[in-house]
Amino acid sequence: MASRGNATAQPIIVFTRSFVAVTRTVREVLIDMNTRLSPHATPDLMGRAELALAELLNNVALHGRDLESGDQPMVHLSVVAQPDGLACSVSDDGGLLPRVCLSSTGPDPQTHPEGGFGWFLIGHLAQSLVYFRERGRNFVAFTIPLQPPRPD
Amino acid sequence: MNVTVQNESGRVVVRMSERRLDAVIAGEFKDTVRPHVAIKGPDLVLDLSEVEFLDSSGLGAVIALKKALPEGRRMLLRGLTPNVERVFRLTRMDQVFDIIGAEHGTGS
Repeated sequence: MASRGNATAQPIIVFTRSFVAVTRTVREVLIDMNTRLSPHATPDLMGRAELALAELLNNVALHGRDLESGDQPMVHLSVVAQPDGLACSVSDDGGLLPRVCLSSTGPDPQTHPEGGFGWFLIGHLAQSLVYFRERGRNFVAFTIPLQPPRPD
Repeated sequence: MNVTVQNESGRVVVRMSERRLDAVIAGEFKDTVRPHVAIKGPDLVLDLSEVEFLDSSGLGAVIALKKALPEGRRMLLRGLTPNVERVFRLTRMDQVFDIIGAEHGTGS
């Protein structure tokens, strides 16, 4: 990681993309994000951020389609490398995010569930998560902390 | 998609040789491997040592394969890299899978 001896002189390291939400593009964007931000984050931090963003973005790609137009949502992604972690913000013009997503408790492993893990994982990995919807867009922002929030 | 199936010391080893088992290929992976899993045979090892990234779609595919096993056949997971191991741990699916170490480990 870059030295922070003189934090005020550090350039802001940011990765931004706008793209149509399909899973193949999500994959390409995450690979590009890794390339861009890996020099500024630990492998563990990058792994957690990539997982959280994969869950969020694939959720938009797979479930966020506009029911009237049938169009895949347009996503704006921004990730900023900060001393305490990676600050992520995502907006999309897809459908309304079900509120149940944000309070997901996760499926019971003993039932061998094949889905429903996405928001559960995001909740585990993210700190300071906020969601709101305004003018037909969903906005989600969170931080992936440098140190995992709990022993995991 | 790069998946190989071979016999190894009396076990069937399915090796996933893609770096990402994600939403893009989870369905194809499941459909490719399921025929090898769903028949009676010796215990099966799913080797994920080349997979550097797994998301919940990939996890769902692995769970679906376990559910496709016939009665009495086991599927072991081998070679989980840190990013893959994290997903199994956070979802507590590590409790329902038999996870063994790297290829050179003794396993069980």
